[in-house]
Amino acid sequence: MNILIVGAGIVGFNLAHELSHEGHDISIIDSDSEKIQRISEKLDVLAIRGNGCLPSTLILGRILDAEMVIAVTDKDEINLMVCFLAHKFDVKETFARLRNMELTGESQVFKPKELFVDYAINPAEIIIDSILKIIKTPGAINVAEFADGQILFRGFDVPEDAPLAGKSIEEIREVSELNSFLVVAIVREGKMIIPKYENRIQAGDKIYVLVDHDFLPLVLPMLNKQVNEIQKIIIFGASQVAVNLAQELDQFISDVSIIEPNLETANEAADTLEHTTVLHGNGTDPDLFNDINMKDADLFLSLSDDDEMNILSALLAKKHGAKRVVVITNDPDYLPILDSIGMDITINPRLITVSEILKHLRKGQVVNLYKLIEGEAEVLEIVTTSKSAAVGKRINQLNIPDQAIIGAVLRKKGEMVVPGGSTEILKGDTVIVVTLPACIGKIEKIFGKKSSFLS
Amino acid sequence: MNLKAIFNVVGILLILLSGILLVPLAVSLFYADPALPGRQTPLTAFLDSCIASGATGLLLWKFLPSGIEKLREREGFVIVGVAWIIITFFGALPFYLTGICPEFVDAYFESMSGFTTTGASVLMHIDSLPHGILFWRNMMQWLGGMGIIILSLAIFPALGIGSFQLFKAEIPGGATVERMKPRLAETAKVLWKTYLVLTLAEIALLKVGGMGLFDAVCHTFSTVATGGFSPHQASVGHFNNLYFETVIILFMFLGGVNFALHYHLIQGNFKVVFQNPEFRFYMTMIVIAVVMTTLGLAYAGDSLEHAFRRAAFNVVSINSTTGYVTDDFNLWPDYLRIMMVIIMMVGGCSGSTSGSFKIIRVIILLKVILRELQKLIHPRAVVRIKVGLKPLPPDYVMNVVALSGLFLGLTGAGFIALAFMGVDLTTALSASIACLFNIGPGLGQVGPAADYAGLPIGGKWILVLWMLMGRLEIFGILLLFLPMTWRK
Repeated sequence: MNILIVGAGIVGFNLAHELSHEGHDISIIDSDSEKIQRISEKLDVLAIRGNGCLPSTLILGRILDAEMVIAVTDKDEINLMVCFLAHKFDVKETFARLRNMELTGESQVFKPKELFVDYAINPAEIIIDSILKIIKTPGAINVAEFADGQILFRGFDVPEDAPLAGKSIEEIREVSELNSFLVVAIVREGKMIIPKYENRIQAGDKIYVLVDHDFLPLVLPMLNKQVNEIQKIIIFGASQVAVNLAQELDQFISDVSIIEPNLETANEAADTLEHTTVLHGNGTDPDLFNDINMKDADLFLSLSDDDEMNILSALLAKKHGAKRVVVITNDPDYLPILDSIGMDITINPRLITVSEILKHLRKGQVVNLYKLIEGEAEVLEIVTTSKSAAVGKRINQLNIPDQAIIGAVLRKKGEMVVPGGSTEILKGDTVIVVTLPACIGKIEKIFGKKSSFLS
Repeated sequence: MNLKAIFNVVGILLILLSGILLVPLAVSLFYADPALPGRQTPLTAFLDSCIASGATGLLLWKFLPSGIEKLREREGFVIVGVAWIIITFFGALPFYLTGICPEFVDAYFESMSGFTTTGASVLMHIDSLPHGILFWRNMMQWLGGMGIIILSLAIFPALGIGSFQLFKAEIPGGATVERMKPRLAETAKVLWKTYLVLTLAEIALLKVGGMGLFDAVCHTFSTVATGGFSPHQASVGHFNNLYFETVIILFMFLGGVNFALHYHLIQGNFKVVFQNPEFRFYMTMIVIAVVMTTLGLAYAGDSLEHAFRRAAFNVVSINSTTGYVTDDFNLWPDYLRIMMVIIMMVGGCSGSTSGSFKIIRVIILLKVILRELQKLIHPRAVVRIKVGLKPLPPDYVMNVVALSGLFLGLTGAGFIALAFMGVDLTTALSASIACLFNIGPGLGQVGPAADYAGLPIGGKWILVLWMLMGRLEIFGILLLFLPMTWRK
């Protein structure tokens, strides 16, 4: 498929990289000649320098052959304009990143479709959504959803007193009579282990589980004895994400405060928010931290637009006693170090946008692909068709490699099965597989090829 | 330096080469080429070269761990440079094994002259050589014209060597070349398909005119590649046939045109072609040179019609850097000889199979000169260098200026080195130019009617290096000699 991407920032670059590897012909337009230079040296794509709002530039970028246009420049206005022009050029599908919530949220005046945008992606909405999920799953450090939200993927820290600590996977399966979840990965001292029956969970591990949506409330107590209700949240930075999040949080959390260094921004935030306390001050000010009792904070969120300030502020908050910290960083280059300096949860809006767009694009067998940060393990969501070799076989007949595990099987009717060796794979099942990257090829061979990725 | 990646790519290319060597092997088998006394037959020589190349290739590709994924910018140039040196070695084996070139330097010279589409030859009595060997000489030119790495990009896109660095390092004209498709492998395919269409068209036209199939294929190979090897001692002059000359003039001209323009032409974009500044310069230059040469030759006593025929063929041949001859221009008046040397140094368009400095760079140099003059009059003027409507990045303009310095400097260095070895001045200078700019025939001892066999061995090695530098546009090969390239 011919795809035109407008905007060669982090999102545009990563999209071009992924899509070109999947076999699509990519053109990319940006007005920054340095970015264009870099992209044409690194990727096998057609890179054009120019203004994406001009029809002539779009023609140079082969819009006449394009079946899809993805507008991911920094400006919503440009993205809208690109989609409008793409519509005039008869492009079948248009994607746009729109950051302004008025264009995508509940209060929208026009639907994106009326603005010629087939799919609008607002990273802020996705971020707010995942932060809310983390808050609602106490103890969770990582959240993702598969099979349209039917199967939940959650990561947890294992504290000393957790009922699971010290138990082997086999014992857990015997105890959990409900048989509603499966531990699919353990991270110990920064190393990812795909667990077998005999592996034991230790205190201090991070574990990742797949669990049926309906059983989550039953599973939580097994993972964490005392479920700490989150009562006090402190946010650094009154960004759009922060303000909208605070509005949501106001409804069920009593104590939410926002620290904002810019007085004008702080005033605006205070005008919008009803219950949330808005403080004018620095994100690295220890006096301010003492004033607002940082030591009692259950959650500290660094949501400003400045990566470095977010990291510093979260580090200090942790030092002052905040129980858990969430950091937003736009630059993916920081990701590898954040875990080792004690950031509990990291969110990267750019990568989230990329995987959201890819999710929309992938309509073939591998529906959903989620990258775990540590160990680089991947979670694949695969819908089996009559063509896949696995259909009609039991799992122990499939030769699943050691570094991969079938985490859940969702039958067509919507019933989740926690897989064991004797579980049979049927046609139309949604199978969730957790694997280290080296085994992706083998998994694809077993369940059907990746090449049928996009329609 | 990522040595693994270099060896992997070279391995793939050698496997490809071993497959290609089967073609001259079949030709040799068909004509039952005889062996020289006490030497291998061409058939077994091709078989041995084929096995040697294939075995080395497999060893380098399969049994070394792969390092291709992590190519870096400078490695692209190094890979292409090393690959060309090694491929030329295996291409030289048939000449050496059959004893046609008893000295290895001659075999390597012939092979390098083939792959770089120079067309300079050390072989004598060409008409009496085995068919397989003649075919292989011309086929090397055909492969080298569009580039063997670009061929491998088109054939094995999945091998992951589809990197822009390799493409840029091999295509004549470098970074200015237009990318016709988003994917390099697709671009490479379009280039090779266009090349194939030109090749088949010329073979058909020559065949229709009555040329034998073997001659037609061989001449076509070296015409579209603007190479210049001919299976006859007297080159195209052998036939003394106006129709053949006309067809060959046409295809030499087309070989010197940017292949992106051929692609636009096939797509019906005539406007793009005729508005292309490089193409217009190329046309104008040929017309002026042909007119001048015709008048000069007529003034020297030839009939106007015959003078035009001689002028048109030889000027287009030299300007497109092919190097076919129908006439010994060494015997022309001095001012015409010098003019021939000067148009040699301009060459054809970027993105074509022609060698030399390339017209686009001449245009840029002229514009730089114009800018300097404008700056003298309006010191505060902002003057951007543009070709057509496209402004060029200052880095690229500097690169062209540096490259022109290198071309001149190396011409001088080769001149001095050859003269030091006792070669006469005319021969030394023109041999240095004819090899560095990938033309083939020079003046004096290496003129159109003579060959390079009489040069000293050291001189031949220098010219081998000069041909390679000319084809890969110098920087890539110079890089191989820099210690910092090889540092970790």
